[in-house]
Amino acid sequence: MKERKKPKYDMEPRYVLLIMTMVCIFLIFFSYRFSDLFGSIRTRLNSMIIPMQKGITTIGNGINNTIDRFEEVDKLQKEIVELKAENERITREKERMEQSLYELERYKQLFGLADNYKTYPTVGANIIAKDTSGYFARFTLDKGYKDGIAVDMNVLADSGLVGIITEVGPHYSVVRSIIDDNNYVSAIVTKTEDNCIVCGNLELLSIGYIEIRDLSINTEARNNYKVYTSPLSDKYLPDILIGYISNIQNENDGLTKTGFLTPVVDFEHLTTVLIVTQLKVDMREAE
Amino acid sequence: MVIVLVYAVEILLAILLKSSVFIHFSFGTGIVPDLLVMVVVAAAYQMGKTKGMIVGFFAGLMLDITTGGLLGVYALFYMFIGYLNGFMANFYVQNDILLPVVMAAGSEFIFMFLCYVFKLLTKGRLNIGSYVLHQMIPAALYTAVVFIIVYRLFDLIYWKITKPVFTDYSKVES
Repeated sequence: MKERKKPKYDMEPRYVLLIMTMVCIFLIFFSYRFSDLFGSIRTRLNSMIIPMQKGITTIGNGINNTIDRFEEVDKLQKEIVELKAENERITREKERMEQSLYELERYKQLFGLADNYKTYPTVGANIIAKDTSGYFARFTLDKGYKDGIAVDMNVLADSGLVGIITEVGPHYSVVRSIIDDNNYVSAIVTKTEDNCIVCGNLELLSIGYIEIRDLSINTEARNNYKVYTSPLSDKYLPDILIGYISNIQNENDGLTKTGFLTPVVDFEHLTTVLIVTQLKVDMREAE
Repeated sequence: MVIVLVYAVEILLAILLKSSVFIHFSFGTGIVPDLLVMVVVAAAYQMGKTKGMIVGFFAGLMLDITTGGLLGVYALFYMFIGYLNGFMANFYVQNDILLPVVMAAGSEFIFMFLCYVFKLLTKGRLNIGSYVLHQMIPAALYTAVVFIIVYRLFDLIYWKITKPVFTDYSKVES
């Protein structure tokens, strides 16, 4: 009876599947081949969704904050005591540091060294959505090219590297973080100045680490050494802290060492980030 | 016509909620219930292969658009899920909860597995055991648990709109 009423739906589902699979494959192919065209279409569609996402995120954060507030009172009291102790320790440390900084300045003047550590111009942004397909750590920010954001800008939080901007719309931008499985950062270890590669690894992330690769077999690097972004990198600005080495070991090939890296950024509780508005490319041209 | 509108709204809501609200309920594991799989499973279970496939295609396409990357990858995955679940449409009964929940868990597992094969295996991540244990199974279970509540809502909406007529087999036989 159904067939008589609607003969146009009579097509076998498996043929529909076949046709639509081909449509999908064509889509994948064309979006790969003509990424500019598809990018602009996507940006336009995304611009409609982003405002809704912003609204819902605000509500979601509100709910979350209310729940958290109850849990956190006890935690905060404990934290206050710890922080007071730490504050004291840091104050003492700071005095000592100031002393040595003064000394360093003096030496620098003696040697005529230029100030190496640049402070980068930054812009704050809120995270409004996270891609949560399990394997990927990308998220969307509420600032776009109308706010002066561009692709390949670095993103920071807690004075450490968070990731890099991969896509920009008028009022939103997408960040691929360093814990993403497809992300590679060339880095440098302090003190020993060894070059290495930091890459996201989902398996290790569940125990709070990402991966560090291609350390030279002769490296003197030890656990808890700091790892910074390397001046060699194409896209990442130099001298940004990534994290601390732990559990360093020899690779099976006998040529390199690998290890774990504890990121300084707490990726679980990230809500606001800083975008560095300076691009590595511009820096190179300036030089 | 109404059903098309309803599913459009459901897909949109699923995408918005999944990426902005449900991430607060991942309890530090990074695993969230997949609302899109739920929409696709419910659609396929209620309306069969072809329509399930179409809902899956558009759900996946929306996800492709919002998350970046190549267009059509998620569309393909969700379309297959819609098609596979469509096989169960013959067993559709109102208020049955067990079958769709099992279907949702299975679908989420298949979806995560497809993601793994096409996006990570090609990068040389061979340690499948760890991914199954720490990503796929928890995600499937979490989706199933949330689906118990969400499916009741979907079913209610579907019945309000379509008021489907079934042959009453008890009368046919007697």
